[in-house]
Amino acid sequence: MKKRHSNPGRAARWLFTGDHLTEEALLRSLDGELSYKEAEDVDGHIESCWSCRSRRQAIGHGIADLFEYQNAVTAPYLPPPADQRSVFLARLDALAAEMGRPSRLKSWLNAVKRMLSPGEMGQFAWIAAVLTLLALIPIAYFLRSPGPVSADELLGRAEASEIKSLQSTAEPVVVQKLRVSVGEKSLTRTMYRDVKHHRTASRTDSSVAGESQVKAAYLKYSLDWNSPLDTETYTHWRGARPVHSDQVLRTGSDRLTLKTTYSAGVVAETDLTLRTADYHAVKESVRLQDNSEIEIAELSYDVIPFASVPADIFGEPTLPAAVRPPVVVIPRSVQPGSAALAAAVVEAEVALHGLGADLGEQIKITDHVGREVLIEAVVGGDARKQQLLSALQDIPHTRLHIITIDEAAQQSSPPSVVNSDSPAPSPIQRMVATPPLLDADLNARFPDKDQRIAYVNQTLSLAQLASARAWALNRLADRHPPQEVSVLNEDARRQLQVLLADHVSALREDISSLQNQLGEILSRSSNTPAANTSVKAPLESNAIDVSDFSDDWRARIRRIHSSTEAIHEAVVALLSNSQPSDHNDGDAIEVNLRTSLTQLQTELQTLDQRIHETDLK
Amino acid sequence: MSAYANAASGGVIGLCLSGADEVVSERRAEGPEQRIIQLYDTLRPSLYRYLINSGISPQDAEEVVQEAFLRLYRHMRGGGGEENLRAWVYQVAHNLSCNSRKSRRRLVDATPEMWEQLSQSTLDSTPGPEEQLLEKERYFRIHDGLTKLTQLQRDCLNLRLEGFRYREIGEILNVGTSTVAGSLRNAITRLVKGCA
Repeated sequence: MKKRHSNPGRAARWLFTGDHLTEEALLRSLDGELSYKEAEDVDGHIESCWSCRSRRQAIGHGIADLFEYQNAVTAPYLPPPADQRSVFLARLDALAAEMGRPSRLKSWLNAVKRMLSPGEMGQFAWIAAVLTLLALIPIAYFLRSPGPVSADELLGRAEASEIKSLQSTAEPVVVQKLRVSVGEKSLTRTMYRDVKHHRTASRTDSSVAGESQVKAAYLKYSLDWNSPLDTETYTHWRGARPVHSDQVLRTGSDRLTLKTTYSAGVVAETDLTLRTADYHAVKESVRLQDNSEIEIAELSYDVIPFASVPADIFGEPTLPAAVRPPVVVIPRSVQPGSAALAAAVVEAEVALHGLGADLGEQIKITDHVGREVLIEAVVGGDARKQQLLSALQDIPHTRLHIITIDEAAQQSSPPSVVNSDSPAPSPIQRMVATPPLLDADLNARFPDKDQRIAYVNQTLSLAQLASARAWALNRLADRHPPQEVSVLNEDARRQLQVLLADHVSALREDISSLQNQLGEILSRSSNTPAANTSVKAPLESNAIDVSDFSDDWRARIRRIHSSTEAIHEAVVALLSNSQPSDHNDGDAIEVNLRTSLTQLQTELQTLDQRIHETDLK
Repeated sequence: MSAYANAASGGVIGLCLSGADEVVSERRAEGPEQRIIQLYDTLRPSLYRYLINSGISPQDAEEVVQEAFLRLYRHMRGGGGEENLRAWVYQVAHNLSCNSRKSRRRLVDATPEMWEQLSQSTLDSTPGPEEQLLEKERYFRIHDGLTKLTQLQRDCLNLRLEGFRYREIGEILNVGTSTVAGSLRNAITRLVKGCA
């Protein structure tokens, strides 16, 4: 008989913990949220495992009880009051009268739009569309010539083009009209960018609420509200993510599109479209793993002299950059209490998280003598500086000290943030020419040199990303001791909870991706009896002990941080030549690495539950 | 019920209408108004129940429902997309209810007396006194478990109870699908342990 009681090995790793299915796998199985292959693995396991079968039944009963309970609680209020329906109809009529009769043309266009949408389009229309597409494929193939330039070269040319466009005017102001579409929402923005005085202003055709929604979407996608379609900002944003592949495509007769996919994180794919004539960026779209998408398209772009801009666009003129004081202070009338300061810290952390600025950038948040929160940062360039300023400047009780690397170099004494008390994760390490510990396995698995290098770089990037996330979690744990959390109001505590949960979810995904990635190479070498019996020491002296059920989420985060660091070191030792001299037993490192990754997943799962259950007290 | 309501609820234009009424009815019969009314009639009971479950008072729930559908009308008139309008309406209602929720107590956080009254009204249908007692204890345990969940976990549970998929819940609450899965897992695990 076929044995299916244990983890079949080929199944997605997150489905199993040890020999049994995880709670999430059981719940997803009941909810029909597994892929076909995953569902097959889960059902196969449940057929033979009584323990998992009874756990799944218990979850099913729990759901049924909850459903019954909710029905009982809401029963006295149902059905909704009938008299309110006529009130609604009257309100609808009033609104319809206020908006007037829709124009015939608009109705017709809307009808066409609806007809073309996938949900509404008829079967025959779809077949016709598919056939047309098939007919167009050879033409598209013919038109799609090999990438004329590399991604980096293209971005370099785009940046140069942007600088060149500004040189024609003495005091240039960029006036850019954009269409921003997020899902079904879209708005038109007119941006004014005063290059000399580093000021931006914008107007939209949307209501304040509509603009806030789109602004919130910007934060979700970690985009800069004040620098849309800015190549330097895009390059920095893209550089902070693990790029899986780049493709430069010719789209139409006068467009080039840089299509980038990412190996980890929430962003799945980005497209940046440039004009071939002058490499000017005209469209940008970002798609997340959950298939949601934002698109920013340029409608017009002009560089005009400052004198031509209406005087009230930017408000009061600011001082030139050279004499502008680097500190921005939010005015306040009274001295804030510790609760307000703690809430401001959380708000700043959430804003930085939205920009992906909490994964190792030189940013330090401190409580400045109990009167305000001081945020010090040294960033790569002006665009990033503006990004941080616009995200942080509205947070109350906050003093910002954000400078670029160039500005820091010009100052006689660099800011203390450079000597930050928590060392940031080391930069991404790349493959080197000398052979790594797993050189033979790598050569066997990837005979092609380019594939080998790509695999190593991807794996190192994943390990580095996981390390950066664990580091960010560790900083949150350091920054929020029990006495600090106890003064937080409910909103701030919830924000902190969501922030922690988001990091933990992302770290779990990173570790899972790393496990899958390493599975390609480790399974070939570390399953020998010799390897499995020669290992005694753990990767890290204070490696995770899953039997320790400490209730303090901070202690758990610290253990997770040190374990992730150890895993990062082990990956570096196995795949590159930069390992320390004592890391020379490849088999031992491999087996320990496997164990540590599994233990880390368990610990992260527990942490996830603790964060949700303890209310962070 | 007014002539407007009769006409709309049946989808048929009333016969005895004044001139102004005729204009309104004509508009309803041919324009997006008719579609909105149909959607309102279809989705209103479940949306209303979802809002009550989320801790909104009945008065506020009806107000939120109406406002969500009026916004849907503006959305459709503006040429907005019409895929998954159910999720769209729930998302708007959820966002509108967040403010209301902040200023009012949740039903599930109500006083024991109120809870007693709520549960009593439904327990009357249970056959014998022994079954009633067991049922009551079971409800108390679920009630207790729900009060210990986070707001996000409760929102995910309520939306799942309404039959939304994880991806849709993520869109409505503006969080990732993995966060939804994690929240549901933790919430259900907690409730199951509490009821064991």
